[in-house]
Amino acid sequence: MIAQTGITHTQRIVPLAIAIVVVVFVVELIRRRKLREEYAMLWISASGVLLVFAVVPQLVMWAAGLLGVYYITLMLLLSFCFLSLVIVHLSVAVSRASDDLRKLAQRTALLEEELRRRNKRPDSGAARESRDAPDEDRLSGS
Amino acid sequence: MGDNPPVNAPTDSAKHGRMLVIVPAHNEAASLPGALVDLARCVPAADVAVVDDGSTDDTASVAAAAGATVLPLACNLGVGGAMQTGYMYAARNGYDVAVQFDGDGQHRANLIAQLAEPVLAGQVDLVVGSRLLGGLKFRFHPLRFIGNRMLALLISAVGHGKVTDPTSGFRAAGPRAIRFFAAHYPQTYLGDTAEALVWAGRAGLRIAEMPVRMKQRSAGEPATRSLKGFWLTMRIVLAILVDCLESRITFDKDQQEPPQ
Repeated sequence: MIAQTGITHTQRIVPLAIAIVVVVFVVELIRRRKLREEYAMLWISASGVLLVFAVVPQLVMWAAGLLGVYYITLMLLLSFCFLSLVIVHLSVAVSRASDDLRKLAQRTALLEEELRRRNKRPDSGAARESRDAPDEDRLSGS
Repeated sequence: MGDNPPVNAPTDSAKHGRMLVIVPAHNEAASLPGALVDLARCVPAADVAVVDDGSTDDTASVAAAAGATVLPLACNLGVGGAMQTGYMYAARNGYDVAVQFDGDGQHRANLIAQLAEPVLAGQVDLVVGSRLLGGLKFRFHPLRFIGNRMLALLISAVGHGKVTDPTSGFRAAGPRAIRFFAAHYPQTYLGDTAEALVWAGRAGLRIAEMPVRMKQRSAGEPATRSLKGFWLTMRIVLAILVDCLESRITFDKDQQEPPQ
């Protein structure tokens, strides 16, 4: 992969295919609501940049020239791909974890309120004036 | 919880509908007492639920001392998560209308009855108080005004009726909207108001706007300001575009109780 302006068809098609696969993968993750919006945007922009580079490879050459880097080894490329996958996976995991955290915080808030309401009137608790909550389970059995 | 909410006669329900006012509060111990006094004076029959969004000051105790129900969140979830908690409470306790009300003194408690009326009459599922309808001129920061217009155009274009003030957080929700928001509420940072409209529209809720006056913010710094506000608006625009990618949120699933 020596940085020359002469790029073969294969060298254009393969990166383009990879970029399209990444874009489709990210869009699919969003469609299935596996990614939270903030990570979704990050990955949409990242895959967009990848797509631009695949369509206009001269940009990569130009960037390589700027940095004085003329080739990357296949090892580097592969490890970069691997790390990218790991990061996508982590984004998905963090999205799910923070959704779970939100649900837990909300549920404990509701429970805490209910607990406080019950404790506030220990006498009238027997009268059961609030029969509207169907999911009440008898904790003390009395 | 029946599938079909009972159709009430307008006059009857306006008198007897049970109302919950949801006040999300994050470190608002200073401005909260005033707001709660206003609420008690203007809508004495309504229950008030203050969602304490992980405050580090004594917001919770101030609210409890004023006689409000306190829903204490263990960590800061942002307005979206806090508002959803209020809707969960409203759904569990079978309220007929839930009103979103800011504790920072921006919303006027004496307009709540007017805002909730179409919902209690069963005409619509969600009423949004608009600062720009009916010849009202709210003094927005110029950049904020542009952002507001942009969002309004976008949401109208995404297509569920015309919207003039998508960032207004002064809203009244009927039983269908309460159940929907309890199950789905956008968590976008400061974008929950605009995005909630998109979601509600896509779920087939009937949305209406009503002209309301709002006070300029008294205490506390405005959440959006010039450049930062512009960036936030762009984020919300992106979030709404991402919404268009997402699989459709259907209302039918939310008619039944969420599984566990």
